[in-house]
Amino acid sequence: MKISSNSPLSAATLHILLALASEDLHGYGIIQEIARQSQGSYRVGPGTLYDNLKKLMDQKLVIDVPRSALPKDEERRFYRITSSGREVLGEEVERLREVVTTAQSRLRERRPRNA
Amino acid sequence: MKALLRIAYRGMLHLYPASFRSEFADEMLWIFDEEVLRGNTTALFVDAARCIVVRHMRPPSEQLATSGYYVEIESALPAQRIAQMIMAIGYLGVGFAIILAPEIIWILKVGTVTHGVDHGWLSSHLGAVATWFDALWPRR
Repeated sequence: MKISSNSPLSAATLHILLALASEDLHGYGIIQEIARQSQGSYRVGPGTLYDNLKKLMDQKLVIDVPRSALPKDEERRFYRITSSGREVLGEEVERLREVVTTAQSRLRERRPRNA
Repeated sequence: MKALLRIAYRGMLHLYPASFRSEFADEMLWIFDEEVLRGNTTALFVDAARCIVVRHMRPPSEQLATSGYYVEIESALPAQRIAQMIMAIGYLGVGFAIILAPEIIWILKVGTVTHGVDHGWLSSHLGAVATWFDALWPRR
């Protein structure tokens, strides 16, 4: 398994990248999408959101959507995942898949009672 | 009540590093307004407080650009800073020497006058300072 320097991602970072994977969103849209995709079990506040967004933007994993690509009456900033961001997200999902596979196989193993 | 909470949250936003604040404060305030309608104020304040601490504990390299006209430049040469420090220490040293031992002025004055060399601006100013010291502490 290829491990990137970003792996493992924090829960907030993972959820933000996942929220942006399907569409460009503004800040509040990301918060709502995270709540939706976690069925309300995980919510991020604006501080956590922008702290993580800033880091992701510094790493070029997320960018600002250019103003020219937005409707003229739209004043909010929209964020977009980059190809590097998708790559990092893909690696993290693959890492999590392997964790789940390992966990499932261990749970299926029957241990001898006197071991 | 909501107005007071908004003012308090706005005040908290001022505790963020300037660069972060200038980039995201408006959006954070907008999200605060939206979330207050859902009654999540306590979580918002806790979240803001936690992130302020985290932001300020980050290494300075991540907090370079500040808002407004002032920008801290990380690439300033260490040599330049060392030279500034040496100059500051030098000025302080001369200042303390003049205060503690005013005779040093006479040494400087004699040095500039007796040799008959024109030291220009520096010698004239040292002469003026020496005259001033002479008035304050006359030679015996």
